[in-house]
Amino acid sequence: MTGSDHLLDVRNLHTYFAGTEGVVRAVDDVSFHLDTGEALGIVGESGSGKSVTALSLLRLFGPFTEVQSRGQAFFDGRDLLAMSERELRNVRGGEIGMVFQDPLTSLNPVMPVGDQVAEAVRRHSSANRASARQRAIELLDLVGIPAPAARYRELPHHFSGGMRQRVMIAIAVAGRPKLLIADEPTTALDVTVQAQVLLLLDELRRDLGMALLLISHDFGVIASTCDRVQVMYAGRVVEQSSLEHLLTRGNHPYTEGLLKLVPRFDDDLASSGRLEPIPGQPPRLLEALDGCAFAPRCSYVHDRCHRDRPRMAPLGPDHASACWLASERASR
Amino acid sequence: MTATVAGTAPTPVESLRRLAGAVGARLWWLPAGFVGLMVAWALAPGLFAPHEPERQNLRARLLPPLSESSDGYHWAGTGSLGKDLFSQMIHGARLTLMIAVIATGIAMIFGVMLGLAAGYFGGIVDRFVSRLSEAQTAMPMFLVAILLLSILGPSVTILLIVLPTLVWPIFARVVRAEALRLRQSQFIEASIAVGCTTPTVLVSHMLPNIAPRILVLAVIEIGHVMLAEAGLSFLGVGVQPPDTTWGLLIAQGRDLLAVSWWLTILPGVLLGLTVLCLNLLSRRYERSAGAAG
Repeated sequence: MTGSDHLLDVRNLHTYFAGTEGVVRAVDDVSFHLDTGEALGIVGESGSGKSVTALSLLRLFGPFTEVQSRGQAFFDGRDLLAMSERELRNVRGGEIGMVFQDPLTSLNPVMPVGDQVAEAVRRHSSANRASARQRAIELLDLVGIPAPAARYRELPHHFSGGMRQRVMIAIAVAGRPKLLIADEPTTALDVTVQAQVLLLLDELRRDLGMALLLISHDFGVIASTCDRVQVMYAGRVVEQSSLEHLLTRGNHPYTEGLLKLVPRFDDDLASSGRLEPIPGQPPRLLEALDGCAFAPRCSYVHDRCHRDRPRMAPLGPDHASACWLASERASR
Repeated sequence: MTATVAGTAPTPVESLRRLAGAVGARLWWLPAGFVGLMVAWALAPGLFAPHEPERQNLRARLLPPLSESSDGYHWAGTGSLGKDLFSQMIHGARLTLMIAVIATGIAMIFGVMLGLAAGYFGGIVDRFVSRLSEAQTAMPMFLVAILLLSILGPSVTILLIVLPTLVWPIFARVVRAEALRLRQSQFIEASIAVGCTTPTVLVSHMLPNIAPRILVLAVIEIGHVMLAEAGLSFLGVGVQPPDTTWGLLIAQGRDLLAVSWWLTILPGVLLGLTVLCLNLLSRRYERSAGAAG
């Protein structure tokens, strides 16, 4: 069986980089799926492999990176990882749109913003110059750029960070994608603008019927936009669940640690005095880890955690956790 | 003996630097005007030259500058056959500038293409281009140029083939470095993520971001090429009479340097001033482009 009922079905994705000190296992056996119109959030610390997972799907690594991806990633029934560069080029910006982290550096500084949107339009449709321009103005309007026709000829540095991210989103949806990947789309923006951009992403997802894959280190960002969440640690998925379930009944010790780090208004910080960081550092991804990657930092660790790698164990209809204590912890 | 107190009087080098800075900042119209005049000379020498450049007058041989003959006034004096030097310099501008601009243009096209490919694709392409440009730099290219021109016979066409080989690596190196930097930048990755093809990425996203630097370099290199052509013509393997360039005029005056200094010095000053003005202009442009971008 090769096809899949899901819009995106990633199976056993491995992405390894050739670093100077050896092979870096940036993504280590990751599987997940995403249905049409659904919003999935991937959360994890820096270096947990969440961005690399997204980049692997579209093979967006520079020519100077020695990288190897294994596994399968079915998108609409076709395996992205097995596609030729030419086929993939039609998917990029067409069926899959991508929004990057830093809107300040994601736009060509010497090209009018309207032209950059129109370029994406023309790349994925047969529109001529005039109708692509018209469509670009509509898209700029759609993402909330005021007076889009007047600002069409302006260069990116005339726009604020939030406005530039809106332009990036306009470019990303120009090809009417079925899936929008947003890699830390609000990290470089200040908090009020962050909320606006997230709202925009959410609206666009509903209006255009896209699926959304949102990558963030911030539970708050994920919580306001996503239906399902997947927690990644050291290149592996450690827990996968519906948003509500995860927030109330998060199972994995790492998830628990992360959730403790989200400041809440209703929490009495004064009692404990401070947020509790997870002790220790994420592991270096250079050597193959036999046991659980989180074991060295886990407060529930026992012998088996160092010996065997825990697999994702289902805990409910849409909840799975990769921990040897998963079922024990679930029945607390 | 008292030591000079620092900061009281500028050293000659310092004051020169200040002058260059002032020319770059406020007096930029001076070099611009001079280069403009040279271009005007090249386009319509007949409008500016007081005499026919090839008209001989044996009774007016080797007249010093600012003297008069039966033909009229000679601003820059006359040569051994009584030709008016000023008119010859004006007529010489055309070929001098044309060779320099075209040769630089050819070098630029090749250098930019190779540098862009090296910086963008990296790997084997980069190694090939880098080794090629290093090989060129390691060879005494001026000697090779002399050799080639003496074998193939001096002609303007051969000059236009030989001169670009002297300067293309500079374009390739600068463009490669810029392309390497841009290749890592997010907007290039973003343009790939929209599905742009490689030629689109290179031509509509990379090139416009490198263009200002290429332009600055090209203006400087026009000066260099002009000097190289003058050198080759001076050695007799460049432009041949009856064609005239400033370098050839310098060469023709060489034998008479002891008696008629102006035949060598005046075209030399003209050549030097033009190269200097091109440098000042490119500096000025670099500064304004740097401030804008």
